[in-house]
Amino acid sequence: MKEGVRYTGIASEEELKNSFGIPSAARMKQGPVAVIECVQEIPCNPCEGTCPFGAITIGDPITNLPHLNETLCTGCGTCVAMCPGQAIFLVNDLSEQEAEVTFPFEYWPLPQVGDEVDAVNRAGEVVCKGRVTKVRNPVAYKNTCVVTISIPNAFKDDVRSMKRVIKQTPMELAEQKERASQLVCRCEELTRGDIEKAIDEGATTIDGIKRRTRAGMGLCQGKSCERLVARILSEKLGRPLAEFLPATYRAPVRPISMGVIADNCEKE
Amino acid sequence: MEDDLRVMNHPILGDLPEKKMVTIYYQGQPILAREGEPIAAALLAAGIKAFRKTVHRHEPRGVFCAIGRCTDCMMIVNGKPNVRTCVTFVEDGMQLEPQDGYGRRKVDGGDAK
Amino acid sequence: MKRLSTEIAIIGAGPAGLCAAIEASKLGAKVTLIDENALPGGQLFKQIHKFFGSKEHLAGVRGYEIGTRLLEELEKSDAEVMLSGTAYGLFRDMTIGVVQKTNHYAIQAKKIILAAGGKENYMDFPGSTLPGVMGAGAAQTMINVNRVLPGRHVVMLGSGNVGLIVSYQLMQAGACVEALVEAAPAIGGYGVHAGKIRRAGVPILTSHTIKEVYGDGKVEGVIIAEVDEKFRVIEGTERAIAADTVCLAVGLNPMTELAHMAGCGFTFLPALGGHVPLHDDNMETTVPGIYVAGDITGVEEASSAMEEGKLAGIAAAASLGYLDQEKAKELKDEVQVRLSALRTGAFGEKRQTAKTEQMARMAAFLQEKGGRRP
Repeated sequence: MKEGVRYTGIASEEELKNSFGIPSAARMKQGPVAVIECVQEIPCNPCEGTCPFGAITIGDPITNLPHLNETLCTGCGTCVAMCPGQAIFLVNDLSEQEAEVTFPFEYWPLPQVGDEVDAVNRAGEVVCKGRVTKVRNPVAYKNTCVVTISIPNAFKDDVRSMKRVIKQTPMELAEQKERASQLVCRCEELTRGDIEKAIDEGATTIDGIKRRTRAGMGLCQGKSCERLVARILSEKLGRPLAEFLPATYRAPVRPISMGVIADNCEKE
Repeated sequence: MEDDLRVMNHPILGDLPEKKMVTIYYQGQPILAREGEPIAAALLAAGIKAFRKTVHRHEPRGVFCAIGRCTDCMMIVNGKPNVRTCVTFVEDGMQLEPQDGYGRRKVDGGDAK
Repeated sequence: MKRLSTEIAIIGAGPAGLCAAIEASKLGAKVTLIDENALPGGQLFKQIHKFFGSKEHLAGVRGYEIGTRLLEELEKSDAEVMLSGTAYGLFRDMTIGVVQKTNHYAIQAKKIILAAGGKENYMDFPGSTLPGVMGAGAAQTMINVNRVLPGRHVVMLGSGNVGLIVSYQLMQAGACVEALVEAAPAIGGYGVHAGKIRRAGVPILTSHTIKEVYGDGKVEGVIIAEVDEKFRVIEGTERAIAADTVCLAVGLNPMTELAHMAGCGFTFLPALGGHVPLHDDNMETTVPGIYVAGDITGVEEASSAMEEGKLAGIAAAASLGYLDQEKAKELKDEVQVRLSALRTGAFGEKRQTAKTEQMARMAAFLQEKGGRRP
């Protein structure tokens, strides 16, 4: 299994090390500080503008990774709420035993101060218990709640969220049923086999398939199947997808009541 | 009937606002619906997933695109077949029948206009 | 049939169409905005996450709030809005056929902006038509607009931003996402979106696919399997996941029927979703007076659709003489700066290259044909 955010959705140690948003261990001991786990160059910069203390810099272009100035950062948590990617956390290294981790939380129900919760790591695995010490949800955060939990110090680099409460409904694994046929055109109920047969009979275009099989002539007018038909043509004839032009479109291109047109024509 | 599938509470959108409820009838069975919601939403909330049977294979179909593109969710609504239930809104007293195949117009007192 | 006329007709009131209408109307043009839905806003109102980008792109604002703001601006403008109006065809002399409830209209326009948006791709596998298999966008509409869960146990196919975001939103609505399955060896969308659902415990299974969906009359479970580098199922790796809902997030493609009917020139660019209409930096197609904006020009995201809409609105108004070329250029340049900012970085580069190619092919077309052709 390859590591890294592209493969697992989790930034690797290497990626975090090479980013510019991780504060020093010494700074974490001085009070809460932002930990910016943003390791991909995406067009996004609200963190820069939102920090009241100018502690985050992105600059131009807006795909730059954010730089944290750990001295300017006060650990206020505004950026935690405002990052659209929810990639910013706060860590507060309180003592040898205890640490606080702050994270964005957008699930219902919200936790309350004092709640005991399951603290989870970046993969959603429960690593320890946590106690909710702060829940902030002012209007300015636009419903991204900022939750702080107290955890054993040893887990401060792992814990990045808490388990949400799920309304459980048991789900029985059903027995595997007889396989349904593989439909390509949903409206006219044509299988891959039907399309391939038409190609064997000489169809080389989407229109050719349409005339032979009615694929694309049903109610949705090819909106679901056309690209699948193009793919089958491309695979079977060994020609690039670009060659398969869409079928000829004629009015009406959307489902309408023909009665309306007929009625209105009579009046004219 | 399955448990209620309505999203009553939501961390971003808040609690589901109160709304006038109307009664629609699915195969004669009354179902409570929120005024102004699409028929498909009211049926899904009631745990009904199969809306029609197809023309050739008589296989069940339900909501697929939910924005009026695919036509999988058609039903007979107040006697009129081929109504896309994802873009048609509930009305009090509405009669819904699953459509089998092309469906036929069924309106008391002759053809519907 | 009733005949109507307008200066700029815009088809589609999603992010692109709304921005085009607001912009063109602000500049003084008579605008008619047509949408088949009962409410404007397109798919913006189901986007409940905070948008990316910078302040100018309304970053940090949730999609539905952007929708509300646009509708307020539309309300203040003089644009005429025709809702529940299905544009079913584009005919000679810049005439659009529209059916609105029981009325039939032929709307003639001096300029037409097509902003019909995109549609979700579909996958065929055994069981793909069972009730409970649906587009990720369909599930998103159900939970965020209609506030109804399509099911409680979901398997998501596809790890682009749509698959990642809708997985997150399904959990926000109270559902469980049992797994996210991705055929490619890497995650397609932003790492930060993936990180959110990983922290919630959702396994992201790369190099996996859905082999089949089973159930008696509705989805009861999914058989997933590992795939090799050529996307072939590796026998013996199959396993079952109990689920009542399967969401397909396997990309989108442009809704281009009307552009085809109008005779617009097309080109094939897979990075933009397939066959897309050729257009210049004014968003004007090969047919004079017909503009395109948003996903119809190539699938991107709402932020870029809004900018393209503004561009088309400004260009169409300028071509009608509502502002001089100099002022138009100034306004368009501002939009272009914001637009290219959205197409930077590792994720945007592919689209930027494709958009540049699209416009280069447009230029080649004009050179070859000696100008636009009606």
